[in-house]
Amino acid sequence: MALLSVDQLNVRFDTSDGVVHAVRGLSFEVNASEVLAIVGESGSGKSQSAFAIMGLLASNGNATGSVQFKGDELLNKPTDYLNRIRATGIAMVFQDALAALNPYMRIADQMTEVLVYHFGLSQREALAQSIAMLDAVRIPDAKNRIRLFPHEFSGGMQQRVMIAMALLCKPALLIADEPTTALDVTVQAEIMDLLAEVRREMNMSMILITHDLGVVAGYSDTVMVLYAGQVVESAPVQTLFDSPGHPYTIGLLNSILRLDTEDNALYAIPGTPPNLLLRQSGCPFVERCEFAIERCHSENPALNEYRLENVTRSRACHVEINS
Amino acid sequence: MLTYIVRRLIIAIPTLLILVVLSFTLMHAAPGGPFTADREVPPEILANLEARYGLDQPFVVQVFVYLKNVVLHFDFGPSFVYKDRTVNEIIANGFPITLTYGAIAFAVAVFFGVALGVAAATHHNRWIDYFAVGIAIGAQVLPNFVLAPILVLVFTLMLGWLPGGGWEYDQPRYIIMPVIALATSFLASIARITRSSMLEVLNAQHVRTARAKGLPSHRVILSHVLKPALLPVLSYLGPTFVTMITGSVVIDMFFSTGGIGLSLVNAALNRDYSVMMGITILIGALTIGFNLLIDILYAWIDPKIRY
Repeated sequence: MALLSVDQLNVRFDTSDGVVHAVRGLSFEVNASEVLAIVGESGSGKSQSAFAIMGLLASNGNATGSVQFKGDELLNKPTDYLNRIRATGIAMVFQDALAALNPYMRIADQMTEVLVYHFGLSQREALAQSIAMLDAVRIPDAKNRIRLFPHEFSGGMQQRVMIAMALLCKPALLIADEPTTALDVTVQAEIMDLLAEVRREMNMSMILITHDLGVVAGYSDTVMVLYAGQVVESAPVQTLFDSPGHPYTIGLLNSILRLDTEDNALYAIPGTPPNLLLRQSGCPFVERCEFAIERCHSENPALNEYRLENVTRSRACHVEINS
Repeated sequence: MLTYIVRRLIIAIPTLLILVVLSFTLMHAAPGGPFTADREVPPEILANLEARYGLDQPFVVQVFVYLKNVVLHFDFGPSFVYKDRTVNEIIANGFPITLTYGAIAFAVAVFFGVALGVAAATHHNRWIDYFAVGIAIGAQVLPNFVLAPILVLVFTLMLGWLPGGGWEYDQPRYIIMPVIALATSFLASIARITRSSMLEVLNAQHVRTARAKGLPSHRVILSHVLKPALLPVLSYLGPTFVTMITGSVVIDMFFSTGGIGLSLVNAALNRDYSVMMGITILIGALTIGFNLLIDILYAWIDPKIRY
């Protein structure tokens, strides 16, 4: 049985402008110690999927479908029920660590409260374990710096604190929501290496949410590409890079800046993502797709599983593509 | 931090001096005087009176004599109207009364205002929220000069439970109605500010983190939401506290409490220069003091503020 299985997850938001369908029919599984990357641009629904799994949607958000963790249904369960799984079963690392950490509390208090609440540790034990965890994410002088406030750390260190906090209860699954987006390029690699390392050591599963295919390559097993709230392609990471099967994936791969070729022109996918307030009948990518045929305008392609060169993968496209 | 406090206290001195000189000037600039009565006073007697109170001196000399007495002897001088009473006596008599009912009303307004605001925000768009907002708006639009007679009508005349006025320190029943009448509209304001600021903080990213950590809801509210949400409330509370403990003319009039709220207004109407000056300086000093206190509290709550 998969550690986490998501089936036909839909997320919609009731706004004053109408209903926004942020996620449509999302299904996937994460197995023990597997890393799944969810890739998509802003507004593709990747963060909202994560929030729906954790029960953290905004109050106007509405999720339907099924999310099962170790066989337990999580979707639309009361907070008390979810709290037994949050932090201890599934933990989350957020995008902007400075905003995600409480600016009014010392790091020590923010970390120890997790251990005190979930494991009933004494304040002393909780503090010792928190310091040990900060050491593990390589924060120098953790013993003293745990007394500081979040803004007294650098961006990279803040994200390390965030990671340490998520790992405190040794969760089986870590959801990392754009963990490096707010960071300098040089720090990005350090944080990704750290995440990969602690994941391996603790034998955790991970969902890595990112808009950066470059990050995906080195750190994940399977990649799922999201566009306008639905999955357009899903494949093992090497397969996806070698032979992308969806026009959007091809566009994304072409837009990665390559310094090893003579051609310096940076490719950009023309157009912008569709407005999620308007539900159109065809493929959401059709307006920006260079392969589009008549059928793409009228019929939204379903996600089809197929095997190619002994690899199981899936894509949602009407057109045969030879890449 | 300590140097900041010392600096603020040093700045308070010229601020108070300016306040004194300015109110002194304004008062003297206004036509009429404390001895302008309905009946014509013979000019000799008027001259005598003015000499007795030093009003025959040049204006600048008057200011300096006043300042000297206040600064060196902490003496605000005699009342111009009540011949046998000094300003110090009037304040010593009235201020403890306003301080008592004002401080109790403040505590009531803060406690119930914050509680109402928190209850409304945590049940956003549910009946508790609508109920709390309804109460807050109702309390806000009900002025205390309307509320006070209604209270007297109901609790004194109809039910006969509470005395309609007067003041005894050791008898709480004299305090109840002044406290309710004074606290109501402040309670409503505090509830509204708390609610809107709570709603904002509830959507903050760090609150989502706290939820993701699996902390129970009450723990999230108490340790992650309340502190930042109360910052805007705090800046409202400083001046409000001073307003409340320096009394209200409406309360003093309707309940005959004998506080300095009524004294100040009477002093202004009667041109009782010294009483007005005394109470003005008291309010000014309290305002400066409590604003400083609020700033110190701010720094204590928000670690990013360093003076």
